[in-house]
Amino acid sequence: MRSRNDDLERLLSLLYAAKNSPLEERGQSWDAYNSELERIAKKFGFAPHEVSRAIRWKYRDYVKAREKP
Amino acid sequence: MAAHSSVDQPELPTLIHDDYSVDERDWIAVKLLCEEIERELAERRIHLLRRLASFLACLTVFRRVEKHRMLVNSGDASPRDKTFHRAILSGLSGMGEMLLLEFEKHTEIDPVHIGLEFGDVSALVDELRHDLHMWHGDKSMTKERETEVLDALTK
Repeated sequence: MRSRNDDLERLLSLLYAAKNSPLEERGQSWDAYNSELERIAKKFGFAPHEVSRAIRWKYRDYVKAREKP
Repeated sequence: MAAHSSVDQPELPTLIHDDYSVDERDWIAVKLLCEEIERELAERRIHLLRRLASFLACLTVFRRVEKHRMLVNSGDASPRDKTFHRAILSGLSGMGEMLLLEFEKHTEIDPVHIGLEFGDVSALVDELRHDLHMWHGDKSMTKERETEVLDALTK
């Protein structure tokens, strides 16, 4: 069974992938992120925009960790 | 004939792409670029696909500055960073929406031949809208609600 932390990690990695994918894959990767955002928001009873706003600093930390030299 | 001189050449510094660091003034550069493209879009003198290419180039520069100032900067983004980020993001989102309207009706050249699919460009514009909400939107969302959302996702 997936833990809640896995949900957050997966969401952050999909957002990172969507934002860094080449243009020709952008539609597909953005759809994947949005589907996961909606699934997680529904699972915990939040609106998708609430989840995306709440994770902004987590996303920043994720990018920092990924791109640390 | 010797292809190379045996004389020792001074060692040239290696240009490492990642060494480039963005400073605060770069928001101004992005803003100027956006204004230029906004003018192009309003005048509609050049072909839609060229306007799209300019928009994409502007977006690339914006994302680069954004990454440095809002994401990987060692400290928190300054109020000035946030102000410029919101203003430019709003402008790009509006420009993207206008371009999408035209792109949807475009029939002269099949954009697939130049590597542009409607769905991909549309996703870029969705992303701008999403980022506006993510970074600057929903002021009605309280700190308590934000904590509640994060707690649910991380506990």
